[in-house]
Amino acid sequence: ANAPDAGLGKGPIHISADQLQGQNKPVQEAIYSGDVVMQQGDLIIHAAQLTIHAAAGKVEKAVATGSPVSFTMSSAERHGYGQQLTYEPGSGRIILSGDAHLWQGKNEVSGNQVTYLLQSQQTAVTASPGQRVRSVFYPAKGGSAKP
Amino acid sequence: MNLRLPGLLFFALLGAGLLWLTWPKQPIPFVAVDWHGGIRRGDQAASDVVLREYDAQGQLQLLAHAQDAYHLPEGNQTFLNGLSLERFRRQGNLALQAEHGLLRNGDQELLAWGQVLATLGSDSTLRTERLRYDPKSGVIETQDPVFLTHGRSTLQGVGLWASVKTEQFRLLHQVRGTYVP
Repeated sequence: ANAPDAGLGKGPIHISADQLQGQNKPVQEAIYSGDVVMQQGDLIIHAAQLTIHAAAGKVEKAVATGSPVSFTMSSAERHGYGQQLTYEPGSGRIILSGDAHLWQGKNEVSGNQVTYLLQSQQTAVTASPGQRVRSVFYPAKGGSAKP
Repeated sequence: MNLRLPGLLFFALLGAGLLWLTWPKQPIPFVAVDWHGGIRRGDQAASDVVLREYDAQGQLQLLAHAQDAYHLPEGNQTFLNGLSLERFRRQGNLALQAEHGLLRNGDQELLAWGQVLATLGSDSTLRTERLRYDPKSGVIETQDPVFLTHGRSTLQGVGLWASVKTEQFRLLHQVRGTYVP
């Protein structure tokens, strides 16, 4: 996979939506709804609703829901979807949950929850009780499949 | 000949002379006012208006200034030009300026239009073309495009409802936001 973008999880966050409902107290929160698109660097999230939790104007967490909510990261050839996506810019984590699927190129992992770390590009997958995690790796040309 | 008539005449001339002497030489600025159909009894016009409102403890609560203002008893409306006002609040002052304003419903509603700029506290601003402000409920509303800033972050949309008291707000259409850390 390509070298991670040093700016991952950094830089301005751009959001567009049909409506917005926000409050400054007791906590800074903004709920965007209707064809929501959120972008930071080359991370792009598409959702039906997106809730931004901020402190002193800084985004601490973004929780997106949809049917499904999806994201793409072209620099890392990643894309994925699930019923909910939580994005924490500070720790550089994307957590997909609810029938979660994550691809890198053609390789896929899926389970109840998939956690993807932007900086290290590590992925952790957990399954619901009684279910199993699934992975599909396509051998690269020349035989060796790289996780 | 009876002396009373010349005496009265003398005092009248004296009074007129004094009045002429004390009349200000520079013209009092006449407020060019469109009285909507002519001047009627009770119409009032003023220029360089300053309004101060105090709370029960004598603290200045509201300071408003208008380059000129005129009041129409019909409908109990007060038109303001070159309006700027500031409401002093513990959690951050609310300031508002606009080219024009209209106080109506017994000053319970302020309409402002023409390059409206509102600032809340030290780092939040709102720009729009027209808005309605209800001082009692603290609600600000507009159907026009709005542009908000909070620190370096920006928000824009069309149509706004906001409560200055609860610090809640809604953007109704075409929302664009940029959060800059």
